[in-house]
Amino acid sequence: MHALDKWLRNNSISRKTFSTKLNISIATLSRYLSGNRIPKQEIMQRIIYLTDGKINPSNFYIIKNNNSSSSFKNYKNDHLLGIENLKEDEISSLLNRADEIIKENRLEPKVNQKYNGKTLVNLFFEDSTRTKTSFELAAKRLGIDVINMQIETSSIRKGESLLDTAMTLNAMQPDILVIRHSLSGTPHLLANKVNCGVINAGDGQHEHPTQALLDALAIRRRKKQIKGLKIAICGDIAHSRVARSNIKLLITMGAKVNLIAPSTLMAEGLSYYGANTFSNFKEGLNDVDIVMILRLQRERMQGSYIPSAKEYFKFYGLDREKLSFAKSDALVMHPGPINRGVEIDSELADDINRTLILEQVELGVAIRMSVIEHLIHNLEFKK
Amino acid sequence: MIKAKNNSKLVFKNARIIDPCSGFDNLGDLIIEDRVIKDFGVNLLKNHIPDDAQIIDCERHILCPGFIDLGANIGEPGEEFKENINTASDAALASGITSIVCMPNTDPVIDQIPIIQYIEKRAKETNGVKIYPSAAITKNLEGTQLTEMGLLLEAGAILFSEANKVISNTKVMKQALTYAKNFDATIMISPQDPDLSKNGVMNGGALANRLGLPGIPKVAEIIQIERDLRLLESTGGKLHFINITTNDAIIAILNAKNKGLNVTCSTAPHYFSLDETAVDEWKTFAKVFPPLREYEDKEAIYKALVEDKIDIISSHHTPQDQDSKRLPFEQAEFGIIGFETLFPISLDLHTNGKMKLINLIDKLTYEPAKLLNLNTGKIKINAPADLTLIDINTPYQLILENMNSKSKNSLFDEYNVKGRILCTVVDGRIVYSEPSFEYN
Repeated sequence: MHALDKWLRNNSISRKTFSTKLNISIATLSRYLSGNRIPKQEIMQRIIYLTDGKINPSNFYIIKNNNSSSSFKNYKNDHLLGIENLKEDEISSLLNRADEIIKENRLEPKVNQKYNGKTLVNLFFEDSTRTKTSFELAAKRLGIDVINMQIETSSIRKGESLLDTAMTLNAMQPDILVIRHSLSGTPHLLANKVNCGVINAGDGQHEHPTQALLDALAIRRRKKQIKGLKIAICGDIAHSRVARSNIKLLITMGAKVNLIAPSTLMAEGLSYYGANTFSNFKEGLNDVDIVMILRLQRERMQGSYIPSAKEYFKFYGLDREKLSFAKSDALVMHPGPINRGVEIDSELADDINRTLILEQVELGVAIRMSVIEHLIHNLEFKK
Repeated sequence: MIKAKNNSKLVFKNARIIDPCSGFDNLGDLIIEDRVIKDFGVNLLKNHIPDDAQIIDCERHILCPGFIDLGANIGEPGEEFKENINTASDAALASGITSIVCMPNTDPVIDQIPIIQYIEKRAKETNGVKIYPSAAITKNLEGTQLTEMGLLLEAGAILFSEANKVISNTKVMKQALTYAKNFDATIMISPQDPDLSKNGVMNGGALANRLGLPGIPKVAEIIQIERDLRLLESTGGKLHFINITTNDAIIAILNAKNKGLNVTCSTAPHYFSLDETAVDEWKTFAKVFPPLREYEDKEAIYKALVEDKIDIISSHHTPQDQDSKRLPFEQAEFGIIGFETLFPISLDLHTNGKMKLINLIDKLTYEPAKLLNLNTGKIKINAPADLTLIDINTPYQLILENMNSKSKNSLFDEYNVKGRILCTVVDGRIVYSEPSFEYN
């Protein structure tokens, strides 16, 4: 129920009486209450005056989102810590809203005032360019104030400062805390301690949920739906949080997932989620619609995981020849940044007809806006 | 609390006396005089009740030798903020433990005589549980240079151990086993291959992969055990494996015993009562070394104890303060406190596992005493009166807050158990009695 409706009921005022006081028709008031229209400034001021400030503009903006997408209903969490345990309709809710945001972005000015006064803190304990920038841009387009905290790696080595840092930030009452940390489970630890919404922007080798969501969005926009697709994820499965989130998400959404990696970089037990594993690239690519290439960390290129980058590219790097084993219209994805000539052929990476790499970056902003909106909506709702 | 009338004379009457050493398991009475067991038996008090003695009516509860705990961490020296000898002693005595072997991974490491002397001095001041320091096998636990084993033994070291580490250099390990043989000293190893377990924080496998945590594969344990058993076969000597967690380990050790090697092993209650799922979502209290394994291994350890394939149960008491545990899982310290849950959790082997009570008590008393060559852990005339009285019938709840250990890192909070310790005696002196325990 709309907050204004509640207020009217609590004060025993009928919609008719209230609309007369506002000097508008009852139908207009109904449209405000259903979220199909937002009151003009002068009427808004009347409403604030008549309700003693109990009802303010934010009540109308939030409800507008709710109804226009009808999607907020399905994602009820205060946080986004991982894809694990998310249901299909929760994921769809996040994706649907992102789709709408993309439409809105094309029509409206880039920055709107929807969430003026809200604060998002980017708490990055690990180097990141794209994810951090993407979150920052997403928040700013929603009119949210952004604080970037790049914690020096040296000062977190003691570890003790982590909870203290989080508690300090919490005392400043941000609305959203975006955290990236090199240790798995850190966002969960913080989520238990703070009052704001927590978004996992990558934790150790555990999960990177917004990356998986934006990948899913990219796939859905090109292939119409995820269900029934055959998707190969190739590369350093063992150490990749992107892979883990993607496996969980794609399988939840009804895709078939093939994991392709040299056996030293394959993780045991991921078939738990229903993925098939391959150590032969060509076999794994057979008949797939999407090829997701993972980034190979530089430190794994030598030593006991794989002997050299050269050998890796020969057997596990994606080039046109290997891609020919997939479906003829198969698309290539990569979370970036790319190691050209290691995991993907340089010329192939630039082929905009076959790859979604830049599109992924663009969609990242939309999906993060969607996540932020969902969390703020849920937190508001709780208040 | 019980106040002794006469410190030197104590009578426990109407107790179910269980002594695994002699196989005695009968309702009877026990007389303590001058710190030792003067006499015990059925109907001992029928004709004569010593009138100057303190008499305790045991109400048919279990009276058995005090427990002997291998490989506990007691915080001193170096980590007094986690535990100190006083708190460790209180916790141990409240758990029926009368002797503990403390680990050498202190700060500084127990690799020199003055540190042994320091611990003995502190133990004497505390005047509670008996503390037997183990000494490092190699200097500073670095795995390269042997400690002065002979001198350390003379000073009071009970055995040699590298705590949670192993000696990765095969030659050094061979020398250690060979040299220790000169003094008939025991080498104690917590077997996990150091390369395979490097950076690992939980059991390797599907769950670790889901949580994104580096794992310690099961095979790390058997690889270390097999190498050390091969060495033992060639050198002779006494080897003890502490904290066994896998079925493969049990089989390998059993085979070695059948070959005639002098090898024994032990495990801890969390390895037969919990599995890796206790880690749940990065619960750092479930971070122990070696890690909690899969369900099948937990069951195998349980079964092996019931079938007498594991010699000893020890607590692996490892106190960690809040700041060491309230961290991301990978940064948190390993360890779980174990004194006050040792018997109640182990008692399940008897109540649900159909293990004979005397056999269970054997693994906490006489077996460790044999390993350590101690003249305790048994009920015998003229043996030191180290005893504990246990109620195995009344259910109660383990409450973390009420535990005596300075650190409260236990996973067994609010567990409903049986096996409450009513009274503990060290050298004929009542050093602990349960507040609600009433006696005549």
